[in-house]
Amino acid sequence: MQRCLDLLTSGLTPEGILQQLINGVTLGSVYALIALGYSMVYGVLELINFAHGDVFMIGTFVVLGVTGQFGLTGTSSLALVIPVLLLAMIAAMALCAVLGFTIEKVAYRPLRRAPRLAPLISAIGVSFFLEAWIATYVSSRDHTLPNLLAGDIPLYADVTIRYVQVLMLVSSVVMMVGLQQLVRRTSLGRGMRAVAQDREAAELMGVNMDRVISFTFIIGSALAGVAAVLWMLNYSTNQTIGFIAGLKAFTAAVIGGIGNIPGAMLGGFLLGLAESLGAAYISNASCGIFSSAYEDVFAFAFLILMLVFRPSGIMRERVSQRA
Amino acid sequence: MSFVDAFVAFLHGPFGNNPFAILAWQALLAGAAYLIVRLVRGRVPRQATAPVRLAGKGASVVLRNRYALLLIGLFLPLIELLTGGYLLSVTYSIELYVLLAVGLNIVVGFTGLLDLGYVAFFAVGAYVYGLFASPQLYEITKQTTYFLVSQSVVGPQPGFHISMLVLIPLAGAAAALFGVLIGIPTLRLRGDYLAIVTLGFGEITRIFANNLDQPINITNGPNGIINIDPVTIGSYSFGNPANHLGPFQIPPFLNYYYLVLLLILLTVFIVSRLERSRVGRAWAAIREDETAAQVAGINTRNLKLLAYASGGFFGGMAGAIYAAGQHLIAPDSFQLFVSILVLVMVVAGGMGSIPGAVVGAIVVGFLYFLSPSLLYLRILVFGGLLVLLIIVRPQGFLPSAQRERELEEKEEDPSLVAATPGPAP
Repeated sequence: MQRCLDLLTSGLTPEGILQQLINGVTLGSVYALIALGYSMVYGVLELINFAHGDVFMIGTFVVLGVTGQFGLTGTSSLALVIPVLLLAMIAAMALCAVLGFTIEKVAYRPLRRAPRLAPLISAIGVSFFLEAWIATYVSSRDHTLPNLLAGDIPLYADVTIRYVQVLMLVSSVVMMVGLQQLVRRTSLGRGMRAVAQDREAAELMGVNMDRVISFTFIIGSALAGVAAVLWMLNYSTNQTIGFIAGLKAFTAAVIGGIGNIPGAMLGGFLLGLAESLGAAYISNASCGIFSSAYEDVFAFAFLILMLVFRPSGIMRERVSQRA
Repeated sequence: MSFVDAFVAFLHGPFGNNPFAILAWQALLAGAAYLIVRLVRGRVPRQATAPVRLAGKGASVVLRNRYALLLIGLFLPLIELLTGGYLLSVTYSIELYVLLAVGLNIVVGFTGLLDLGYVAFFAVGAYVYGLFASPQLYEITKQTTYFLVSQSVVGPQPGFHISMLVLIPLAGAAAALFGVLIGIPTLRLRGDYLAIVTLGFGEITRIFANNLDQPINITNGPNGIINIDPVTIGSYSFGNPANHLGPFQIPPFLNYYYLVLLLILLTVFIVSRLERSRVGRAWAAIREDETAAQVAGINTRNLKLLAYASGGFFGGMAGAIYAAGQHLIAPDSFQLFVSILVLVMVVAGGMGSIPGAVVGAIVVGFLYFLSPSLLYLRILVFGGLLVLLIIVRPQGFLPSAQRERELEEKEEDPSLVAATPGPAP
């Protein structure tokens, strides 16, 4: 027992915890961006777009391709790195948007009046197709970008925040605020909210539902493209990344209250924090019984607890009827 | 150049290895296929398509007839024996999937609970069999355990070696209990949320199986459990490749094939009785409208748990036989993909219909196992076909008569679909 207590206290330093908090929040900001795509589509169609994670995965490969074309290395000058990253972002956003639009058109639209399980099955089919396509024709290995924008800002004692982390945080927050304004203020956003509330009534009021749904997919997928750039700045990718990242993003969307934009953001941050703190301290906290191999279990356990005890999410918006 | 090579080269296109060139080529192919379908549709005279439709009708009659199915089931492996072993092992795998599909059909088809973690039951069954019919638990027991030993074991052996007659039902029961454990926290969830939570449970099960070699070695981690006893009856070991019937050698897969066939018959018998019983009608009521069912006096809580338990029971049995037939099990065999494959079989066959589940498992199983088995190309083709299949026939191959009626009613009056939110999945 004493040994366990020692273990528990020995790893816990304020610096360590702070560092994990920073890592968790940056990871969570990417989850949040992906979560928005799930959240928006679920809000409008009540469909879990299983292929959304794979759209994000395709985005990461587009980023790899663009940066590879320009031969970026860790020592490239800022004058080259920033335009190339911007270009990669635009390319990833565009390609993901086209992909999301196509997926909706090909795999979901013909099934709009089919039994409810049918679109889920075709979503799974699309997801397998995209993963296998990348593995067959591009690569089935792990890839990372060179260490771009190296350097960090010291915060407190040994705790630092890296430039890329700042970039990830700032850009995801900017994107989310932008999306929030789009949904609140434009006529397209008004259409989306109307369709989410009551599809039939919205159609009767003259909302062009097909157009709204298409744009929902386009915007959600483009955000996944942004998330892909940010992800590649700090993490690695392979063809299966879409599934796990997608699942965690969906969890984030549910935690925050699905269909709710600030909720998705909060959910993403919470999940990122839980994951990085869990992975760092679970071994010591459980006296060596659990190791960081259980990392993915935390996300699932979090999701299950959330759905069981508060299915409408933290930012309670909808009635729990759907859960 | 074999057919598969030609197919691979055709998909790859003539423009080299650049992904964008391949993408462009495949988009071109897809566009051409779409155009051809658009042009052909409605322009072919009815007489020309008559043989095709007749063949489809004939196939449907045969597949709906359980005796015809049984006859095929009895003799197919014997025919396959003549063509070599590969097809036989494929057929045997598909048979296990038939058992799984009939089990999952109880949960998804009858009761309408979308379960994406069905592989957990399969895994629990396999691990129960693996632990109690192998030397694996030697370290824990630290002694020779020797009760209800399978007869093949000569002399005392380390670890447990319980007979399959006890273990297969026990594996089913353990999986059923696991089903109830998963069911309790998820009772309030419906539809897509339930799907995600069950998916989570499935993955959690696998991650635990993968890591429970520490602090106490229970599952032997990623390496899995090895040296699992084969099924034995009397002195006849199913796993012995030297078994002979007269001059004919009996491969182990053939033994297991007929054992599973027997189990399938038993399962289909039980499940079809269940479907028409009070319990089955209550399940259908829950599927159609849970709130209304509750108001009508159905104990939805217990019946939903019963659905999980029954579905789990058959999944667990399938897992036990899988473990016995393979001699070894590892967490990698219990990936999410298995759950998805079984679900696809149920949906493709027609949800809520037992012949549908059987036929769905056979058709999708052969599609999957016989598509070019190059590492990822198989999944590529499978994913594409899946989308195509569900778009062409969203109600499945052999939907249950009741469900088909429901769908037709809705098609006649689209406003009805729009007006009623419908039962979650």
